Amino acid sequence: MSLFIQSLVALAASVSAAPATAPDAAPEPAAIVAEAQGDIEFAPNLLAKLDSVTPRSEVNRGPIWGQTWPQTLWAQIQPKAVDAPDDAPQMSASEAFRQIDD
Amino acid sequence: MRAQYVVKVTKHCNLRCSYCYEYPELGNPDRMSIEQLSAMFKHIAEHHRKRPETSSVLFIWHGGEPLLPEPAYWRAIFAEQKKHFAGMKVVNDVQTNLMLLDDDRIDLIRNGFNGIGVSIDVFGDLRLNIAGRPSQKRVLANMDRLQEAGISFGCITVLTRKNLHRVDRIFRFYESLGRTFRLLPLFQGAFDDQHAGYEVTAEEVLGALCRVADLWLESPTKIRIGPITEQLTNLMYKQYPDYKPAYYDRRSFEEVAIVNTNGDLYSQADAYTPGRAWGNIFRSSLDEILSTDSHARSVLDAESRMAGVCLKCEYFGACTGFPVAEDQRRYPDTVRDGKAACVVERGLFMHLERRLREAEKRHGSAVWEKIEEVTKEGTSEAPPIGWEDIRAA
Repeated sequence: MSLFIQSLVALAASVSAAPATAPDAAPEPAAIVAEAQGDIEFAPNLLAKLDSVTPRSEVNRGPIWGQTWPQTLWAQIQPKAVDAPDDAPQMSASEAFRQIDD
Repeated sequence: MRAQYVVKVTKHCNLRCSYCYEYPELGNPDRMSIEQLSAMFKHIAEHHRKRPETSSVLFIWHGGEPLLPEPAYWRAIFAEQKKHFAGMKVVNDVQTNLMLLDDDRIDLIRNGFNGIGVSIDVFGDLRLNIAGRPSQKRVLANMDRLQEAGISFGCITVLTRKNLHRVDRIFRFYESLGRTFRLLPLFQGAFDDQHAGYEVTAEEVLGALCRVADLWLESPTKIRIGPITEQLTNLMYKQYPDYKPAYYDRRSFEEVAIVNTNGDLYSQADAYTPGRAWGNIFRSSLDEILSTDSHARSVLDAESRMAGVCLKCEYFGACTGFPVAEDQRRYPDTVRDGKAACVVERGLFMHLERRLREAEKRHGSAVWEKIEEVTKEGTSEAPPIGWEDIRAA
């Protein structure tokens, strides 16, 4: 057990940690997730998609504050796939919005 | 380790978004002076030069609207920064409402900043100009300009009751654009009842994120969606033979700090709370600030939250505990008497794990062979472990 975890365990056992424990009345994530589990049809390129988000060896797994534009996050994760960090734009933002707006 | 500094260079803004947590200060034209920024750079650079584990220093320039000041101001900032960070890896990203975009600012974005994030909610019309009118049409036009200029950008969409029911369309919007985006649940406002009428519950946010995760898994698109693909990354990394749990251990390394316009330094959880600043980066060295009682209190509070919530979570280690440590899960239905539960992040991990198991059934072990291939390519000498082995263990 790492020193960090040991210190958290000690903290959890102390009186001071008590106020941080979860409230009983909070929704149970498993129940919410169960409702969300309908059938889906996975994309035919699922493996390539997973590959594109799979981290290589020394991935920086720290917190990500703000937005994940490619220069910051993906430069550090170094996806093996050489695809552009974003898929190539297919249409303008104005046109994309027109297509989804009522 | 990457050190991130979220710098509130000015609170001045050309929008009055209904939910903005800076709302009372958006009319204040004050901004950090070059002298103050120089002191900040000096103190941050001095600290990280002594910390060899610092892989890079990321400045996330925030506001207010950080592109309101003239580009010459920014060029002076970058020139000052270079003086202090010679030989170090520094990244400058800017988060903008993209209301103000001229040729000079396009040049600034292309040649000054390393990355740009655009704030746009797609639906809901909560992002208003000073006259109280929706701002989105202009933002879309300026996104077109960026695209025409060949500048890559990501987006942040704040999830509120005004757009939560339209996450399918929001996903389709970014899928058509081929743009990375983050879905950011509405967070604490600047004053009581600021969010009345459009606040969202953890249950609603988790449901929406599960829905968008499914849309992503069904679509051929490879765009990244925060926090979904980040959690998927960590979940898959958990299956690596050489997986090592990672924790948000602030005593070892402070990965994120918020710098207020007056130079006060905060953790995200404590931002702007009176008496909770670690110290002032304009006046004190970072070494001094990190040894203050205020900083120690902030760390202990974050660890207490993690001790109460994360130790019991099966995903702790794949998740660093950051959302709990930095108190990001304060939804109306998760907080009772000051206590809060981790519902959204833990639930999203559950959902993604179950979907990956379904994918394994349909695609066979190829889903996990992707991980094994990576391992064989040299990340570890250890033999790959299959999904079955992991489950058996």
